[in-house]
Amino acid sequence: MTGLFLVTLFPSCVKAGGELVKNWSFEKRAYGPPYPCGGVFKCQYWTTNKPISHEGGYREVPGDIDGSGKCDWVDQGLLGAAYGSKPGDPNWNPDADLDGSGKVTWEDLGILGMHFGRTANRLDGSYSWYTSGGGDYQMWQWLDSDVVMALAGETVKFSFYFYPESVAPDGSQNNARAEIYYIYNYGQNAGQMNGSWIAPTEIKWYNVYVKVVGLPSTTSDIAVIIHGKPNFKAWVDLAQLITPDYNLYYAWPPYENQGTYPENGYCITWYKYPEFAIAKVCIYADKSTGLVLAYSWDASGIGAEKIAYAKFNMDPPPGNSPEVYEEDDFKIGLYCGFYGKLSVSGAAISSLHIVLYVYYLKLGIGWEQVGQYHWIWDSVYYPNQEIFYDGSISKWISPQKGSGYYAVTAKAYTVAVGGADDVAGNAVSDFYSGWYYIYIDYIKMSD
Amino acid sequence: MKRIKVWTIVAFAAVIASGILMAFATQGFNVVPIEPSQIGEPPQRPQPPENATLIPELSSIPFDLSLNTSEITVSKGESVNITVMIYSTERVDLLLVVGPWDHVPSWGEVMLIGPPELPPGIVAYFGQIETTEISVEANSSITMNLTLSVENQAASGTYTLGVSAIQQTSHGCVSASVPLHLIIL
Repeated sequence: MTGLFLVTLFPSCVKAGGELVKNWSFEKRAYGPPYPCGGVFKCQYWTTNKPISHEGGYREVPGDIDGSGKCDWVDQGLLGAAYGSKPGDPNWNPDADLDGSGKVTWEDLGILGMHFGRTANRLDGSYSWYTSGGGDYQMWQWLDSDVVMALAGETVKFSFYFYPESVAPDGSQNNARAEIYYIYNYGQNAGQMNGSWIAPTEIKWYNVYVKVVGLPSTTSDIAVIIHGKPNFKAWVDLAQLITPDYNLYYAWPPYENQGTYPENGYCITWYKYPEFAIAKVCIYADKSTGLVLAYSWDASGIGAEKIAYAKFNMDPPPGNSPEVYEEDDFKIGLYCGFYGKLSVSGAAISSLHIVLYVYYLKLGIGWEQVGQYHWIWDSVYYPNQEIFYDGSISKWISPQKGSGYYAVTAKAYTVAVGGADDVAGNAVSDFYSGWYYIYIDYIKMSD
Repeated sequence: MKRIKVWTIVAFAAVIASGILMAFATQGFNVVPIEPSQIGEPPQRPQPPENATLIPELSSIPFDLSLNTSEITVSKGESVNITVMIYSTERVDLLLVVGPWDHVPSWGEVMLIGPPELPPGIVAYFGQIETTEISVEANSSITMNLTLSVENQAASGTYTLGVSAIQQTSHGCVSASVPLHLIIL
C-alpha cells in the first residue's frame, strides 16, 4: 500500500503507508502557558509512579534551551537574556523556563548548572527520558480515545528503547520490560500483556517490546507501560505503538461527505384520511462528529418498510484511499457506538443497520460499488428493548476487481415495518429521541 | 548584547552553587513501589445506560460471495442465468435473496414479509424459489444458479440489484452483498 486514507491527522500520530501508529518523542517544547506538565523539560503525556524529582525522571539535558543536544554557553546566554521574564515580557522565552514556574528564575539557572556541559544520550534525534530509579519504576500513558478506536480489534505492539546507566555481569541491574494494559467489554473486563524482562549486560541501547494479538473489538481504553527494576536508572527513548501485521488506514470525523434520507434535520410523516399519522421517518447527521440520530416508525399496515439513513465518507478523494494489490486481502471495519430502542407490537419488525460499502476506483469513471456488508440488530432478538453497543466491526475482503484503489463508506439506518397482509402491526426503531444516538467514530481499512 | 554578557558571567557563577544545592536537595526522598493497577483510571468515556441490553462483542463476517458477471444485458421476455459463488471460512447457514441494491433486508424481514420487492417485471429465482437457504462448510465454497427473468411489462433501463447472503446471528443477522447491474433493452 502506498496511499493514505487519513482525513485528519492528529499532531503526534505518524501513519503513512508504514506500520508506525504513534511515536512518542520525549522532546516536547511547544507548550503554551500554563505548562500541562509543569515544565518544558517534563514529558507532556507520560505519568510515572515517582511523584517527586521531576515526575520520576526528566528529559535528558534539561538545560539545553536551544535544543542542540548540548547544554552549553549558548543556552546559558539564552537563559541570561530571558532572566527575570514572565509571559508577556518582551524577553520572555518559555524554553528558558526550565521548571515551568511561569518565570525565569535562579531555579532555572540551577537546573542549567546541574547539566552544564552534558550532551544528550538519545536515538534518532529525539530526546531520551532519564528515569529516577527508586525501586520499582513505572511510566505509563493512557492512549487518546481516537487512537484506541482505531486499534480496537487490531494487533498492536508497544516498543521502546532503554540505555542502562550501569550493568552487572549477571544482568541484575536496570531490567526493563514493556506492558500493555487494556479495558474492554464496557469496562467490565481488563487484560494485561507483559513482555519479557530484559536484563542488560552491556551498556548500550536495548529494544523492549510486547505484542497483543487481536485486541477485543470492544476495547475502550489502552495504557502502555514502561516498567523498570530494580532502582531503574536508564535513558528511555523512541516509545512507539505499532500495528505489526497491518497497514492501517482510517478516516474519522470530520468525514468527506454525507448523504441522508430524509433531508438532514427533517422528518417525513405519512398520513391517512382523516388526518392521523401512520408512519414517520427522521434523520439528523453530523459529518463533523459522526453523530447520527435516526428514527423510523411504521403502522401503515401495508408492509412497506420505512427507512431513515445517513452515510459518511462518501466519494473520498482518490488520493486519500489505499492502493490494494490483487494478491492481498484487506480488512474493512468501523468503530461505532449506538444506543436506542427497538419497539414492536403485532405483525411488525424494527431494526438497526450498520453498513460498509466497498468502492473500487474505475479509471476515468470514478468510484464503483463492489460490495456491501451489513450488521443488523432487529426486534426479533431485542423486542421492545433498549440496546447498546460500543465497539468495532470488521470484514476481510478479497479485492474482487484486482489491484487498484479502494474506499469505504459507512451508513447507519433504521427500518420499521409495521403490519403485513392486512394484519395490524406497529414498529418503531428509535435511535433519535432523547439520549438515543448512533456514532460512526471510525472507518478503517487495513491489510 | 551587553546585558546578555553581563548576565552570562553572573549566571555562570550562580549556576555552580545553585546546581550543587539543588542536586543535594533532590536526593534522599523515599519512593514507594506500585503495582500495575496504580496506573489509575483511564480518561472518562460515556457509560452505557443501566437499563440497556449490552450487545456482545461482534466477530468478523466469515463469508462472502461473488458473481460470474457484474453487468448483464437482457431483452424483454428473456431470461438469463448467473452463477453465484459463496465461500466461507467458517461453517455457516445462509439465506440467499435478491433485492434492490439500496436495501438489504434482515432475516426477520424476509421471514415476516418475504424477500424485498424487485422493480416491476423483474423476477429472480434460485432454482424455482425466490429465496433459498444453503449451508457452507468451513473453508469451502458452493455455487448456485440464479435465474433472472425480464417480463414484457418491465421498463427499459439500467437497474442495480443486490445479491445477498444473510446469516442469522445471536443479535439479528449479518450479510454480504454484491451488485448486479441489469440492463433491460
